[in-house]
Amino acid sequence: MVSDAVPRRLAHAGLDAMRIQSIYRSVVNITTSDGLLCVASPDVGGLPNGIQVDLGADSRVIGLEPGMVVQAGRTRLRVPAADLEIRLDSAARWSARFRSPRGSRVSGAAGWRARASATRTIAGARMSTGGFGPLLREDATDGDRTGTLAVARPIVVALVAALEADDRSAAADIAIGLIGLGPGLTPSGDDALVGMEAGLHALGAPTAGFLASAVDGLEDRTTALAATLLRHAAAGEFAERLHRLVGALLGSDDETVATAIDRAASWGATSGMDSLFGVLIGLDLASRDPMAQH
Amino acid sequence: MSPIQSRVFRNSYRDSVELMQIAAEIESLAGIDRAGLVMATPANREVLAAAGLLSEEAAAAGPNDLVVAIASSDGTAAGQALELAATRLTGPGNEGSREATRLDAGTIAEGVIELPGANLALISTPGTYATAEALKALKRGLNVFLFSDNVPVEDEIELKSMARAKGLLVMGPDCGTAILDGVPLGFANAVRRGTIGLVGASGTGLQQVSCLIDRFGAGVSQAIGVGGRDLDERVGGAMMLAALERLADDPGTELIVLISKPPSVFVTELVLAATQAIAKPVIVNFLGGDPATVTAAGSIPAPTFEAAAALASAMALGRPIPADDRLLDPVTDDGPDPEVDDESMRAVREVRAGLEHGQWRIRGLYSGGSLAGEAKLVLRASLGAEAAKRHEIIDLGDDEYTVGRPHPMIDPRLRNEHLSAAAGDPATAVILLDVVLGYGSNPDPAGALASAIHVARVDAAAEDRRFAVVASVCGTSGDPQDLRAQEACLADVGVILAPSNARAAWLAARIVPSMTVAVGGHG
Repeated sequence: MVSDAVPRRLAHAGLDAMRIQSIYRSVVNITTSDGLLCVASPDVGGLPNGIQVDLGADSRVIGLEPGMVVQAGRTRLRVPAADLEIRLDSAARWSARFRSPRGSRVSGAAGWRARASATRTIAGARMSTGGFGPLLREDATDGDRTGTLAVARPIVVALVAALEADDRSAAADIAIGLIGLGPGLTPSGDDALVGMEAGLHALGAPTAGFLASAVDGLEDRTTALAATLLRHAAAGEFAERLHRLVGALLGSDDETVATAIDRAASWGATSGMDSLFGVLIGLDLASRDPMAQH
Repeated sequence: MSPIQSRVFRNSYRDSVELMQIAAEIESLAGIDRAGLVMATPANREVLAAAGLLSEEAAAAGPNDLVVAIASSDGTAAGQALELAATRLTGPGNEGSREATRLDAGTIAEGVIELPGANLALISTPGTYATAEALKALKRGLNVFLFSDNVPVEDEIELKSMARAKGLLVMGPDCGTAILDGVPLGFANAVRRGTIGLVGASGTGLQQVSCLIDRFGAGVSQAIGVGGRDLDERVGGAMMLAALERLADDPGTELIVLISKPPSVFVTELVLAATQAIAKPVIVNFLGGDPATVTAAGSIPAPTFEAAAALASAMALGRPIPADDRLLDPVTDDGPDPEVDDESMRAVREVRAGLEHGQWRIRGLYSGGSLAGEAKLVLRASLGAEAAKRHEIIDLGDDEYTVGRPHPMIDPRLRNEHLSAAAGDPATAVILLDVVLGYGSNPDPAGALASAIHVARVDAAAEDRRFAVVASVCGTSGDPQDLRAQEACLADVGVILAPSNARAAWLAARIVPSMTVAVGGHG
C-alpha cells in the first residue's frame, strides 16, 4: 500500500538523489529532496510519506546500511548495494487526507461539541507525565524538569487565540515556537501541531492548513522525520493511526474513546499523547468555527 | 549551579521510547542533579540554555543530533552517566538492551522474528484492534489466545473460519484461561499435569474444574478455552469442535471434559455428534443442560463443575465412579441435612439458628461469571426456581460493573464495596463468595476480602446483627497465592469454607429459612 503523496515525491526525487537515512525494525527512512520517505512494514499502518511493504520481520537485518543510494522512479525503488527492489506499480493507493462530505462535517462538529467534555475527562485521566500530556490538566506541572512545559504553555495559549481569531498568519508565526520543542524523535511540539491540523482538517475548519506558512526552513528547526510529517500535516495528510484516533473521538461512546486513547498512548514514548493533545485543541477550534457549524 | 557535562551524538536516530528509557536511567543515577536527553532542535537548545544545561558543544549541534546534558557537582558521576548514555546509544552494551527488548516485541511480526518456532500469539489489545492482530497472527500460522473482549461476533466468525481452514485454534475472544502443554495463560492455575483434556467456553468454569481435578489427585493434559460465545448458534462451536479434534489426537490425553453453558439445540447436536466419533471418553458439563441428551449420544453428563472434575478424576485414576453427589437435590426440609455431620454443616446449623427474623436473603457477590451461573443453578435446584429468584447472585466481572475499572479478580475494591452494602442490608442472611486464585489474579484476594468482612461484621454487630459468609477458593497449593493460606485467611474471620463453588452455594441454600417464611415476613 502506498500513500498517494508518495509518487509525487518520487517524481521529484530524481535518480540517485535519495539515500537511506536510518533503519529501524519496522521502518526504513530514506532522504529525498522533499523530506523523508518511510518504507514501513504493514504493521505500522499507513503513513502520509509511506510505502507499506513487507521487508521481513526486521529491516535491520536485510543488508541495508545508512547512506546507501536509493534509486527511484514512479513505479519502483531500488537499493543496488543491497540488491533490493520495491515495485510500486501494482500497489494499492491509500489517501492520507480526510475525506468527508460536508454534511458529515457539520454533524461531526455538533457531535464533538456534545462529547468534548467527556472526552477531555477520559483523556485527562490517561495523560502521562511526559511530553505535553500535563498541559491537558491546567494545574499540572508534572515532569517539567527542563522547563519545556513552561515554554510551551503560553505559546499554546497564544496559538489557540490566533486560530480562534481566524488569523492564520499570526498562528503560523506563533506555531514556530512549538516546532522542535520537547522530547522525542518527533518532538512534542511537532506532534501537537500535527494533531491540531488533523482536528482542523477533520472538521473542515477554514484555519486548517495554517502551518503551510510555517514550514519554510523546517529542516533547520526540527528533526528530519518531524519536518516531513509537519509538511504533510500542513497539506492535510496524516498517518492512518491519526485518522483512526480522530474517527474514534468524533463518533464513539466512552469505551471506544477510551480504548482509542489507550492505543494512542502506545505511539512512541510521548508522541501519541502529544498528538492527542493537539487533536483535542483542533477539534475544539473547528467545532466552534461557524463555517463548520452551518 | 552545578557544572554541566554533555555529549552530542551526531545524526542519532533512536526511537522515542528508547530515548526516554535512557533518560530515565540516567536521571536515577546517584549524584546527578538534572539531565536532559533531547534532539538538538533550536527550541530544545533554548530550553536547555534556560535550564542551565546547554554546553558549547550542544549549542553548536543540529536538529538531527542527540544531546545528552548532565548537571552534577560530582564530576565522576556525570562522566559515568555520559558513558552509560554512550553505551546505551552506541556501545556493545546496546546489544544487551536490544536483547532485553526482545521480550517486548512491538508487533506480531517482531515477535515471530524474536522467537522463531513460536506457534501461539496471546493478544490482549482493546477489542477494536484485536481482530486485526488476530488475523495477522493466523496468517503467520500462529494459534491465537485472544484475551481481548468487545470483539464483534462477525469478527469472531471470520477469525474462527480462517483458523479452521488453516488447522489452527482461536481461543477467545474474551478467553480468560488456558493451559497448553503445561504453560498457563491468562487467569490459569498451577495444576498438576495429567491425562485429562479440558475444553471450556467458560473461563472460571475451566479454572474450577482444573483446580478440583488437582484437588482430587488427578491432572490436566491440556485446558483449552474457546471463549464464552463459541457455542453461540452463529459461531457454531467452531473452536470446541477443533479443540475436540486436537485432544482426540493428543497422545497425552486419555479422556476429555467439555465445559459450557448449555448451547442451542443445533450446536449441542454438532458437539455431541463430534464426541461420538472420538474413541476417548467424553464428560459433558453443559451447565443446566439436559443430561439425557448427553447420555443418548454416548457421553457422560456432569451437572456441576465439581461433578465433572470428580468423574474425570475417578476415571483417570482408575477409582470407582462417584455416586451422584446430590448437589442439585432440593432442600428436603426447612433446614440443613441432618445426615450430614461435617464441620461446615455444623457451622451452617449454628448460623441458621442465630438468624434474626427478617434475615432471609442470599447475596452472592461473584468475580467469576461461570461460577455465578453455577451458583444460580444450585440455588434453583435447592430452593425451587421461584424462590431462587428472591436471592441475588451478581457477576461483578460483567461489563456492567467493569467499565473503567479492573476486573474484580484483579482488584478487590469493587467487590468490597458491594460486600459492605450487602452486609448493611438487614435482610441479608448469607453472603456467598468465590475467591479465584491463579497467575493473573490478585496476589492476596482472601486477605483483601477478610479485611472487608471483618469491618462489615463489626458494623453489623453494632446494630446487633450477624450474617454468614460462605465461600469457596478456586485454586491449588501451587498457585502463587497458595490455596491453603488463602483458605486459612478466610477461616480466621469466620467464613464457612466449601471445597467447591457448587458446594458453597449448596450450603448457602441450607442456611436461609424456607421462602414461605421469608416472603410472609417481607412481602
